[in-house]
Amino acid sequence: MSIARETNERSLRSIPTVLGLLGIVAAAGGLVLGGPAWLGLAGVALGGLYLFGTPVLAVVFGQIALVAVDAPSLRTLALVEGGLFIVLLSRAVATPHSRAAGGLVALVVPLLGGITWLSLERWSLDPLPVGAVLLTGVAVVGYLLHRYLLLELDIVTEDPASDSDFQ
Amino acid sequence: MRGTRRFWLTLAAIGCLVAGGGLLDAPLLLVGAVGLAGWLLAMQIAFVRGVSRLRNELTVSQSLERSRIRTDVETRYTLQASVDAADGHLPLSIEATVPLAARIEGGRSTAITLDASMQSSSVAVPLTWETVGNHTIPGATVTVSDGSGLFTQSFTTASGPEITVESPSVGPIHVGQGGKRLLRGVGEHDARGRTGGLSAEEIRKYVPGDALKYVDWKATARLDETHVRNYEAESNRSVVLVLDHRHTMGDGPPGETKLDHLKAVAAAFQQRAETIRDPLGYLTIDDAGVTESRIPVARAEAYRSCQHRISDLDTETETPATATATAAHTGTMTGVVNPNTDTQSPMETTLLAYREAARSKRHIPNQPLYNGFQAAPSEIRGADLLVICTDDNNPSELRNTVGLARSNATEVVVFITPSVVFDADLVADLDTAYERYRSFDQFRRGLNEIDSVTAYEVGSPDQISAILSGGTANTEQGEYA
Repeated sequence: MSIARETNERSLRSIPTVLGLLGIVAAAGGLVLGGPAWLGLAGVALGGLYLFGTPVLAVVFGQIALVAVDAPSLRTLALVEGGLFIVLLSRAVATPHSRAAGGLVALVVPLLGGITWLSLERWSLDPLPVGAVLLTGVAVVGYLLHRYLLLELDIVTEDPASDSDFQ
Repeated sequence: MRGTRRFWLTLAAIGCLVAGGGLLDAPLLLVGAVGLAGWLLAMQIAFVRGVSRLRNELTVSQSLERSRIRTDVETRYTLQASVDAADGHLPLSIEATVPLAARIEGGRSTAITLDASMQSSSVAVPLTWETVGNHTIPGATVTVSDGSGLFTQSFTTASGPEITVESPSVGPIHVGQGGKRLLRGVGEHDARGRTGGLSAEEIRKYVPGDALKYVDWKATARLDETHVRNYEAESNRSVVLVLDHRHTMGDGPPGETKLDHLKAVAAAFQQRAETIRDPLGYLTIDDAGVTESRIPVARAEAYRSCQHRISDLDTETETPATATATAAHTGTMTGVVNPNTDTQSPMETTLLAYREAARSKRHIPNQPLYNGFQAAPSEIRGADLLVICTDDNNPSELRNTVGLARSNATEVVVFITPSVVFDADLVADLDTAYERYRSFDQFRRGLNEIDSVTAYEVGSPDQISAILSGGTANTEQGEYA
């Protein structure tokens, strides 16, 4: 017996790799400009991680490489952090609702990053409590979103007693 | 919402950055961790928004080619999905769950995948239904994932179509008398039950002889002339099917045996009784005696039980369900009539023994149909409509059974499969076959002459036509042609 498949295809608009590579180039440039020459190798590793690995790992690696720069200048910081931010943005743009996802990333990441920066540099708070508070806040919001989606899909009800099966 | 492996890896990376930031006193690592956490949160918000939109834009439809089908017959099942989104949607897969009663031919998959760029897709697979009953296709499971592979979410759509699976048919069946097919639908009956209500049918002018209790006083006052209200009896009478599945019922070609024909007739009665909510019971009998019995009740489970019993009937000998009960009725006067004899006086014991002896029933050797019916509960014997499905292999037994049935039930309908119609060498000697058919028909007419008894023949229309055509050459045989 035959299986019939009918498809109507439409094309997605953008290819995010170019945007991501721009971010990687910016981050690698910032590292080379602000740090020792061997950090050029770190820039190559960043590009490799982005192209063959995952952008998240590239961001983590870039952040670790930035720590290796002794007392980075504002330009170096801006280039590296901006580049890594563009890498994250490129992943958001790759999703089907690219405009909404990109907008959300462009809003949330700088907001949280800015608050952290202010807490650490201007208000001179300890890094660990600041990180713990912010990450806890993010986790709580994430859980609330999870519950909201379950309610929206009628998988659970507003009555907690009847929430026996949720995914 | 479920996080994928990539989601948990990202969380681990965030954790490493936080730990590293704390241990190395490097605030930049913490900034990186918070940035990644913010990205994760933003992606989650985008996913939740995308799923909510998709829920409204997605249309999943399940359809079956037919809503009523017989077992082991193939039908086409189609799963269709379309997304009415102008600017793309989250990638999703839809998987239908087929009921256990159905089998997918060739082990085909019932899943479809809609990438972000696809607006509609469908899959059609052949289903073969193996179990009799009403089945519903459960709702399909939709699994949505986000474009970056961080989250998935599953939800179920509304249930699919219903299908009624019936037992296999033997094809065209002749049900009639003297070679003429019955015009009325099998299973239909008049409202002649003992129970049931009355519903107003019409108001008409009074004519002498009308009972005063039927005068409609309001209509009389309104029309200034005496009017009576006619009532129509509502049918609600108990129906019991007596099904013979002894080894002789296996005569005939495979799939078109006597039993197959009578099962189709019994199934028609079952469906009719279910439609009009008549209480339905049954009694099945094989060579060893009663194999199963159910007193008539008007409940859904009783109809299902009867339907399954009819479907499962075969000519293999089963363990009699009421062998003990039958045996209890075969004795004559015995000393034991009540287990509580300790509490009875000798006089009571003696008198009760005589009473039981008077009540004891006649057991006729080698007549399981008669004996089984005799041993049946009074609710079965006393049904308003008793339908006996058997053959003419033992005419005297059938005559006895019908006589006994008539003395208990209000109306008796007998469906008989003439053995001559199911003989393999029928065509070889049509004259002999015709004579045998005449004998059968005389026997059937004899049953038909009993008050409130109607006897029908059941068989293959082609075979009966062949027998009757063999008799047309003989002028004496013209009555059947």
